[in-house]
Amino acid sequence: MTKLKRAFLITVFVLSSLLSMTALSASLKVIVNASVEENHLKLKDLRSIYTMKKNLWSNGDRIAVFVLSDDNATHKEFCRKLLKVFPRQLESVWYRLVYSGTGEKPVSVNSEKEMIELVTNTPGAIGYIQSESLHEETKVISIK
Amino acid sequence: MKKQKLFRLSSILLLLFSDSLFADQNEWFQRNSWNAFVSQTAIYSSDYNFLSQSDDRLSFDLWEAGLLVSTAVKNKLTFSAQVLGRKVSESSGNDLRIDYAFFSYPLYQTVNDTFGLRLGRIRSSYGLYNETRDIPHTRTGIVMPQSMYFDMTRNTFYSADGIELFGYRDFDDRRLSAQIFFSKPVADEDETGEVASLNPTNLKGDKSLLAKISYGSEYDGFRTSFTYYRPEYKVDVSFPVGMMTVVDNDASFYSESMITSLEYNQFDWSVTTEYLRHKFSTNMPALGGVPGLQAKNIGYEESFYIQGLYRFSEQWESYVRYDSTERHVNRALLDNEKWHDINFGGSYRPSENWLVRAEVHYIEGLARILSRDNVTSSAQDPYWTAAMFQIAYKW
Repeated sequence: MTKLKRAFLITVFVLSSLLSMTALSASLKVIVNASVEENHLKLKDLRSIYTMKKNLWSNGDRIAVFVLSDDNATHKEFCRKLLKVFPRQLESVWYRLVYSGTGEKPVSVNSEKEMIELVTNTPGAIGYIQSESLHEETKVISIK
Repeated sequence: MKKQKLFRLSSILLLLFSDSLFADQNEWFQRNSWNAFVSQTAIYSSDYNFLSQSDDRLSFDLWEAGLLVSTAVKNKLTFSAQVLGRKVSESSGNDLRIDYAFFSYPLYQTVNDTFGLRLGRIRSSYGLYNETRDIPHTRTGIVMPQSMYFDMTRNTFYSADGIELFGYRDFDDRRLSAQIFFSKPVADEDETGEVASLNPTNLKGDKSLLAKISYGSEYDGFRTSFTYYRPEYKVDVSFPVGMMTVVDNDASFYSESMITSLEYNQFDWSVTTEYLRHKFSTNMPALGGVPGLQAKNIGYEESFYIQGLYRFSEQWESYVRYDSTERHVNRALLDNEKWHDINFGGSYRPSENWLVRAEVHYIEGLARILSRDNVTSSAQDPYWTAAMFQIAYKW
């Protein structure tokens, strides 16, 4: 009986942890500047944008990519849950471009507040947040 | 006078790279970035000097530092340059050189396709890792696989002055890319010490061709590439043959590499393998008149490495690699014609900028140690070990 109780408690704990993680992922939003025509992106396109391969929107405008700093919890969540990559791997891809002189890394910002401000004010910008306080000119796009 | 020049240069650079002065996307010098890295390695090796004076002692000789600047000169025209300082050999000393400095311009660009050209001193992008081989944060391990990314002649084969045409098409997050690079190699006279018995002088790059095609993703699933690389050089040599000394001021040589690369990446692990077929040809017309000798000589070697990497967490990684090179000869291989290196190590990244690594090598053969830092004989042990520790920082 004690073993059954322990197994039940462990199961409840694991399930609740998984549910809370899903809830955390669900609150992650990909945001773009109002000038961006796209209303949704394929996950592969998002990965292509964040590995700095895809650098033009469908209307030909340049994509300005913003990221939170490496140790930010939202950044880790974005990399691991959405892009399915360790932040360090993503960073290695950026630095291969930078140090070969063939590409750029994203612009790093210090907070979600700064992220919202910069995405709102930079044409063609893309970023991500978890907070609810969105600027009215910032657009949330869905990822399929 | 020097201070005035420095001040003038600093002022010009400050003006050119000041974002605030040029806020419009169509203006000059946008999206400027400066990056730098520095690394210091400690090496202890059992019988030979390995990338430092490390034979039976702890050596701190090996260091590397790089400074990179990149800017969008005007609209889509970009410029990138890197200065690299490093020391791997006592005889070569502290080396400071412009690794690359080139302009890049996309002649045709759509959402999925790009075709463009680069002009200037450009890195020879052979294999998966040559372009970023010196930055600890972008490679696996302290030492690159020496079978393919040899440090004994790194500078001579590393970058070249010329024009590169490149193009790519994106298929979602996979990229098909191709490039062809016509150039004049940048020769490094210090590295001629690897063939010291020929007393080489006046080494000059002649012409070079590099062609590469690749496909895949750098962090999810497969990526593969094939590279053809043939740099040619001219050199003056003088060496003894019997009782006489042969002097040839019209000697030349070329190195022809064909590299096939394959890598598979998953969230927490990666496997990489590359295979190199290397042809090395020398032409010394003066030998044509010497009985029993011929002007043209050709040698081949085959190299490959296979490497596995496991990511325990965002901070910790571990890797293991087998690295092999063998000359093609119709007899038993001499010690300096083979290189079999089993190595493993781990890395720790306490923060975005810092990196700490330690690794151990168990090696059979001498084919990739620096001849200019080692005196070897057939009586020496071809089995030896090396242990190393590295600390690196990037900005």
